[in-house]
Amino acid sequence: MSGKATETKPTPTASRVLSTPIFPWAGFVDNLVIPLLAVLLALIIGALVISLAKVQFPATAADFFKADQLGRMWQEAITGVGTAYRGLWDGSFGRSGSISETLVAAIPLILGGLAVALGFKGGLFNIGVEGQLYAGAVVAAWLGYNALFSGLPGLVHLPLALLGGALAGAAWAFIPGLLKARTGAHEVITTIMLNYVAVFLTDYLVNFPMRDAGASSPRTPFISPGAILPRLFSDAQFRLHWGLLLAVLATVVIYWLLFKTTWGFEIRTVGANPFTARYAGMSIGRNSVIAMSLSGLLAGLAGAVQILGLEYTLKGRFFLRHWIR
Amino acid sequence: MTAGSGLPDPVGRAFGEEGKVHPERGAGENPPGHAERGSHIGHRLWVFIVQYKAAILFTFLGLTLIWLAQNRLPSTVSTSLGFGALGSLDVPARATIDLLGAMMVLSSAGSFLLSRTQWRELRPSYLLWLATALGSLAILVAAAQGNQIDLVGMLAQSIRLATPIALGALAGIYCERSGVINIAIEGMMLTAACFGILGNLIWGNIWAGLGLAVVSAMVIALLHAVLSIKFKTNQIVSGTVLNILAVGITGFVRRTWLLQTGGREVFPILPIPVLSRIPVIGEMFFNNGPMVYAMFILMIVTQVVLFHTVWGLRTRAVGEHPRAADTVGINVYWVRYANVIVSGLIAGLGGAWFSLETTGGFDDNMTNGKGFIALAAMIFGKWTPFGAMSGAMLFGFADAVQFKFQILNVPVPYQFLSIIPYVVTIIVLTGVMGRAIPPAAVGKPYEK
Repeated sequence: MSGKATETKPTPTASRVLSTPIFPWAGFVDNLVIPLLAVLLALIIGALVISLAKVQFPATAADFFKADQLGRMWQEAITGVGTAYRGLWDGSFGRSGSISETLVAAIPLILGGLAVALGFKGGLFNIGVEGQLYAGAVVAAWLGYNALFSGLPGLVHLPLALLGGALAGAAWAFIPGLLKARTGAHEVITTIMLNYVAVFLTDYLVNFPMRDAGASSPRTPFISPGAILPRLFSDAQFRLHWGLLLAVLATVVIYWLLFKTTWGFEIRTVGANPFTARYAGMSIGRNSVIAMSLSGLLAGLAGAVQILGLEYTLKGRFFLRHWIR
Repeated sequence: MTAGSGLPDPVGRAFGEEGKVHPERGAGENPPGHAERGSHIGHRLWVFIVQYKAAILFTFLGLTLIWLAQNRLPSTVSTSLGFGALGSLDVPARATIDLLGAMMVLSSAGSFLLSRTQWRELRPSYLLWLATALGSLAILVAAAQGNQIDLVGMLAQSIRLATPIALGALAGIYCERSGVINIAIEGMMLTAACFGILGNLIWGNIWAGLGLAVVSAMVIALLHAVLSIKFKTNQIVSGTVLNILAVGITGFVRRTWLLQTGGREVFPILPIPVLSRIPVIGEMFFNNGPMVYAMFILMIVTQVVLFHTVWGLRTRAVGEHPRAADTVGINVYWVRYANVIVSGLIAGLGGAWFSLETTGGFDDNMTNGKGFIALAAMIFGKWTPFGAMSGAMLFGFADAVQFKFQILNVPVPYQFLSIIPYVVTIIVLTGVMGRAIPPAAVGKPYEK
């Protein structure tokens, strides 16, 4: 039977190697040291690539090993790498306001990462966070700028827009969840396809039905003040907004949901071992749909937070642009 | 238990298999505690709809087409259908659509009736394919009202557009038949597309560029192999990471070296001497660039290798039951490494299609999800070369239709046309055309 082939022996992970009496803190090693080593390794490889791009190589191989040439190339490599990494440091931590920017950039990543993690726990690979984020952003923007809601007090309007965005993300993720449960269509590919669909649809909406007629470039009207997720600081150079606290709160709620409720237990069981889950009478299909939708809920929330807290208007491909910039 | 009926392990379970735990799959399969579906009328209706969903859908679509033609098309408009060198034919648009729609309804009904009788051995699903073709033709006739559409030209373009998808699907077949999921085909193709241009730039020779393209894709494949075979990482994670890596590397290479590339050189079109003169077939098959020929050759080669050689038998054995293969002395790891790297080679050719055969340049993310669509084509083709090829043709045709619509200025925003291939992919994955069973051991790292 095919199931036999999956028997696994314990893999010698770093934690097991290091958690001998010398290193009794295995979890610590895995959770902190390994990522730090990974970042360090990435920086080293990055330095190599930057040097490769920055150094002017001499025309002939013979010139290559002359001392002055080597010195010059070394100098060029050091300057290039130094400039790049100083820029990286300044942009993320070094200058005033850049820590705020780092945190601003981290907000959608926290929520999106949470979405992926939740899917993982349920045994699902939600590659479609981006599409769900777009769905959330579209609905949040619409709820934000529409004259229908502009009279509402902030206490109602903002939660409404956030909730609308989150539910839109959940709805967008419900599709692959349902397809997975009903037909077995693999969620990795369906969610990627839905990413493209979401990006194109957003592009269409922003260019036609939702476009601000007065704006020169295609975008929606700005959201009304009641729907704005306020900033944490009054100083204009700090763009950090309440989305950060929302993201932290979402993390706590998801932790509670996954590890302290029956729902979470079912999701985790289905993810860890569907045979067991099925034998215990849990519905794999239903749990897949729930896990996927919850995952999409978080992704949609990320999109809503991005619009309501940072962008205040929706442009086509706003998140891609954000990504590349 | 047969090899295909692996239990639903969410990681190991590859595409399209999970329907096995579907509660509707017979009450006997349900664990105790599940509510047994009764035989009440609603349930039986649901089962009927699920069983004949394609026939019902196509009947409905055919009727919709007729209704739309009657209400939206003036009866005087005619469409000119071109048949390449054979000339063209003017047909009245409305009557043609009526006819095609009626034929669609008939063939759907035929497939339904056939599957209810002893003739179901005749594979009534072919009638559904006929209905698909008729429907597409009807939509084309409607879109081109008052204009000309060159059907042969469109089919030729479909073949060209299907090339990277088919090559990607072949790459996926080698990989998955040996038991390794390859989500990284997209990344391999993107890398190859970029390094092909870079190689052309460095050595000034487009064939050298092709060489570098293939090698770069093989390097990515080697990474995937090491990660998933040696280090036994989750293969979907490994593939996704490599896709992101490919986006990063190619973006860097483009900004650093490819911004001021001058002439945009592409592969020459190589007409096959005598065969390219045959009116319709010659235009479609024998008047193409080298990657298109590579696709056809590799398709046949793959078919032979997989099903008629020792190597293919070993590959399939390793993909279905690695422990059994190991027991008879096959080196599971080695077979997997080799197949993943071959997969990189083929994906590299697919990547070269984007840059070296089509545009002559490289743009960020120019593969645009074709690598994932290729996986869908592979699933569609049930992990066989000819099946994957027909899947790729379907997507190529969807792409060609989309381009044609944009040229014809169909009053639909281009964004809706652009999502056609992606939506087709999703529909295909839901198994409208039947269930696909992946190799049993796909996605599971082998532990000795």
